[in-house]
Amino acid sequence: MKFLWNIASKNLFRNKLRSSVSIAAIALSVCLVVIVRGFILGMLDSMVALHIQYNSGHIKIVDKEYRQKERLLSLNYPVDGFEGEGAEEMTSELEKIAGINRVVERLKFGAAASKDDKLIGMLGWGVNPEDELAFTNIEREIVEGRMVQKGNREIVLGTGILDKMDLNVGEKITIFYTTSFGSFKGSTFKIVGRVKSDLKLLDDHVIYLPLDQAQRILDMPNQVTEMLLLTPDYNKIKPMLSDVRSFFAENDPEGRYEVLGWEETNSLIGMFRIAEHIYNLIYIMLVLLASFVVINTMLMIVKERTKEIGMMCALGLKSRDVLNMFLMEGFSMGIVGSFIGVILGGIGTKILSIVGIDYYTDALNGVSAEIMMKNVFYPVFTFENLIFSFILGVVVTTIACIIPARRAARLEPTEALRSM
Amino acid sequence: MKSKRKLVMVLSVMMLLMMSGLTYAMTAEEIIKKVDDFQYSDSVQMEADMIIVNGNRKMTKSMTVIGEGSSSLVEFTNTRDRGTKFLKIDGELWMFFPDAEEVVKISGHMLEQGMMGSDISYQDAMETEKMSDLYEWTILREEEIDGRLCYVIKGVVKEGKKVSYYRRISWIDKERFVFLREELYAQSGRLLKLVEAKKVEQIAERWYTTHMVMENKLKKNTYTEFIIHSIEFNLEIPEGTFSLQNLQ
Repeated sequence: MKFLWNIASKNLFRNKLRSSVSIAAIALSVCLVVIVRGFILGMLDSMVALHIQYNSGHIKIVDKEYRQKERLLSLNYPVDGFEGEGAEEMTSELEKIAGINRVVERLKFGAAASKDDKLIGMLGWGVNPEDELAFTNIEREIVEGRMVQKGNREIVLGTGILDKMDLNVGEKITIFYTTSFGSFKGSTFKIVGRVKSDLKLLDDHVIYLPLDQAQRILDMPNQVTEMLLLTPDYNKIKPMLSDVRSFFAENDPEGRYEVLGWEETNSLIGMFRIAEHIYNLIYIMLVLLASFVVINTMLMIVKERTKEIGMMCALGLKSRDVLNMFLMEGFSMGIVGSFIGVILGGIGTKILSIVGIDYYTDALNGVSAEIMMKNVFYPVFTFENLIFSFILGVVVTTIACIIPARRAARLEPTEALRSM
Repeated sequence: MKSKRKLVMVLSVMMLLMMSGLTYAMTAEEIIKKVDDFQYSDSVQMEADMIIVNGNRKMTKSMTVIGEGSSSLVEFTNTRDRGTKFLKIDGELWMFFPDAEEVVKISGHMLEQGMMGSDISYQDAMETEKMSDLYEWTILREEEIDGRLCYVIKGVVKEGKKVSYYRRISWIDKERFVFLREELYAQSGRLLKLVEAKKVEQIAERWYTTHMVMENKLKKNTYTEFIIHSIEFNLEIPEGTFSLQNLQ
């Protein structure tokens, strides 16, 4: 067996140019797989992270009716405890469930402000500032000023809204809204922060105010519109989800509230998950394409070495050994090529994961704010990705080499020798 | 004072004529003019309740309304809305909220919204021009509503006039010259709103609808009742009532 390896590796160096072209083809395709896969994973990661932070939490609790009319931001279906005891009491009950690290309360409502004769629609979010700072990356997105503080008549606005209103941090804004009792009202708040996140939702729609202030102006004491539960790991929420569901089955027998895992509240992420499988197929195709170069080279080699193969067979080498020998040659090329590809791709993704890819900024202009996508993507650099791409490169190349190897193995010694 | 006495006389003569069965055929124009005469006055002040019913939610808002010419001031007096004021002046709508530090102008789309969540839009509340000036009227038929004989007249908006409802069909009490029922249509012919008078009272020399119900036909299970508890016509209104300064 060892001597087969010897021959195979020696053969590799017989025509250096030919081997390096094959290796380069494999390296290039594997490098591409690493980068594209890093990009897709990065996109999905970022979408999932944003979706969890600004929409669903790991587990979301809303009123059933509210969910059906979520777009209307109705204040008639609040989350206010199991028997109307209040959101705070419900939160402390939920925090007692094992595996629930934090309960984030939000009170979302429709609001507007007027500038000259224009009315600018906004999405009011009453929040507990500490929870938001701990759970979301909002602190990083506040480019000027600070987050609102509990108890203060303060507001944080997206840069898009501030520009439209021609306002700055430090100035005041009067917003209108309809209270839970249908009264149309207005309130003035001091602007303490500017959010610039590249995220349409945060820049052009959301306004943050302290939860207590939102509850006061909307006439909703101790009520919120949703609760987001956080667990240690969003990929492992299944057990917690069933714990929370049984807790609700016990305390909320009428089924007023709905308990939703983060995957249930975003159809786009589900679609991306399916798309991931399709992408995997595309990666295989990509490497297979490069393997055609290898197959072609190997077929040439078989043709060239027909006499040699015949000789070896005449000397007692079995056709299985010939097959193995060529597979080894392909395997070696796969290993070398994939290794180079992984190194190059790894460096590439590492750099891109720091700089980010800022693609055509206008491309997202038409996209609805509900789709949490940023203009700049950061591909992720993971060893898992490198290992995946390396194995893919080696396996696909080796399998592709079966075609020329079988051809070599099928040669009859006598026939082969005759070609002399 | 003289003119008032004159009006009373004219009215009494008219009533007499009607009662004696000497009614004569009126044109639609004359009918609506008469309605306008009853509806409009130099100035008015009233205390009213607006009851908004949406499904099984019911909200009552109380207000004081002062009007003079094309200006009006509404101040809410119920607990939840106390201090909220609307001022209509020069065709613009301004609002004051106790929790806001500035007076706000309401414009554009907002005007089509229901006032305080009711089925009466801000635009509805803003319209002060006389019906006879806004619409071209024709008599359709005569019909009885709740035992009262009515003229049924149709109004189509006059060219160049801006209104919320392209067409309206009104049932006008033949004796009292007040609306008993009104259907408001969009240009497409779709019925948008239905207004019904529940109670008509005689105040001084005029008949006035003091309890009406408005249904927004675009929404399900909602209606708004408007009940006037007290109303006074042609009174002195202090200067500066209809000013932004007074709003704050």
